Amino acid sequence: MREGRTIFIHSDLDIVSARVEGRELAKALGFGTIDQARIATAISELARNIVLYAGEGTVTIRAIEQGGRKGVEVICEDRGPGIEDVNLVMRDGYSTSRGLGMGLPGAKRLMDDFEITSRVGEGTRVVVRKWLR
Amino acid sequence: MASEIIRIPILQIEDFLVASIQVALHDRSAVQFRDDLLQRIYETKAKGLIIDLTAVDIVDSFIGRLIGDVAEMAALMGARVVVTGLQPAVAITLTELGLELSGVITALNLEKGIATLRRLVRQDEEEEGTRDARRAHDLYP
Amino acid sequence: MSQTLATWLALHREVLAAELAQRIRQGVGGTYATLSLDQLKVRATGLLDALQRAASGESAEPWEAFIRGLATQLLAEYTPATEGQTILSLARELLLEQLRHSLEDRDRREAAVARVEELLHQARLWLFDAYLQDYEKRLAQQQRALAELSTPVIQVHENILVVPLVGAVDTERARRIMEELLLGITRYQAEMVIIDITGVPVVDTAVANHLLQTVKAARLLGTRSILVGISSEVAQALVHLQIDLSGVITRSNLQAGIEYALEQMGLEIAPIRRETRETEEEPAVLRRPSERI
Repeated sequence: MREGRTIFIHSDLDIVSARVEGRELAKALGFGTIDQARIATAISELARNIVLYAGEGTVTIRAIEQGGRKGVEVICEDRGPGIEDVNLVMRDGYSTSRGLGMGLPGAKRLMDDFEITSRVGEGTRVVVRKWLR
Repeated sequence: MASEIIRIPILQIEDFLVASIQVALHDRSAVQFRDDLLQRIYETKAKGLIIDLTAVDIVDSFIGRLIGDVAEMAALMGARVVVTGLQPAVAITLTELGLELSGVITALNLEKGIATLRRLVRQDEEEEGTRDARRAHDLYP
Repeated sequence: MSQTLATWLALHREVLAAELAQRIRQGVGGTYATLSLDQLKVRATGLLDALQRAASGESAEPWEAFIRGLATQLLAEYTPATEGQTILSLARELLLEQLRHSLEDRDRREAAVARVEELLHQARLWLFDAYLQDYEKRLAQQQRALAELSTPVIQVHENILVVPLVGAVDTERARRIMEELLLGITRYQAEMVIIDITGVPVVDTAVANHLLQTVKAARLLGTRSILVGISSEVAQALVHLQIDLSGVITRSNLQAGIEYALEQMGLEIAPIRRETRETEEEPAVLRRPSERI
């Protein structure tokens, strides 16, 4: 596993930086255009969640290898309010206000692996991965 | 901070407006774009608007929803919206995100977009004409 | 001590080859059954000579090279793996049998036997490995070919694409189909696409949902989709599964789909009118209705 790039997320500008970074790495690893878009979009969704709910956090993007497979891993972390009921939020159709909340289920659909841990008052950590076919 | 907001140029072609997004839009710029579009529709009383996304690589749920909103709001102001040039990768990611944008009319490219817009506007006018005629008929049976 | 084996093999070469050829003739089927006894003797001699060189030499490489070469020959003749192994088994049996007969000195006999066992054991492993590599190579080739075949996107007319699907559609294939279709739409700027599922044997919830997703994504590009080839069984299954295809245009078969697509574009297929001569055949041509005389 190589060292990745960590992007500090404070504002909407950082969301764009994070997804561009994700796209570049995906391209360098050999992902096709459509998978590049999936990865970048998933990063965008997760990074936006950080801005909207926690105010700030980090997105770390790196190349990974496991059992002969190569892929990309994105770790999104924040010390925000945390999610009380993760299952509720992961259900499609759930939204906090005016249609927001598509981020988590959407990111899960776009990527191959999805892990989330969250504790109220402590923060949230989302890890997603996509593997080269 | 205001200097970070990118303004997308909006062109007028006959009685339509055309805006082509050429750069990556962050959230605040996107909101500014929406406001600018609606303002121009109001000012010019445009009948139609084309949003061209040929140069856009990534559309996430924020921009996706924003485009849906623009279509709805523009319709309230009497203008039809056609989105053109969506890339395959973008169409797929939007579908996989679950954003169908069913209220948004799309076309493959600018040329077909303008043709579609003309057709839609003409249909709207014919419908209005029929409605007026019927109303007149009701008043004077 | 392996010199004993080498010397012994050199001495009994002719007899051993003849006997081995005989046993192969009787014990091995397939292509080998069609070879004449003389041809088999040539091959048996080759094997024994290589064995002799291995017995007298230091390195195992020439013996491995020979066995892998033998494997290549067997594969080229479509000899199954078991038959190949049988040949080596027969050789082993014969050699052990004859060694026990002819070498009286117990130490030399046991040393020679051990060497035969060792060499032939190695040979069988190399043979097995060669067959395995060949199978894996062919499997990879077939998978590549299949992947290429699996998503043809055909332009039948300006603005109209046809995607004929044949065979089972799993998640991975469905994803590929969606991507190929959308790329095709962009490349040909197609306003209509006809997806023909006549050749898809099973249409379950998963397949139906993938198709629906493809139709939605195509719509986002500005293209209308027509689904054709839904058999009565599939129609029943879809209704049973309560899959909502209400937003999708469907037609019974490809012809109906193409006619519908043309109609939407303001076109139709009509016979060519010839003013002067009457012809037996009237070829069909695509023309806008307004162009008719």
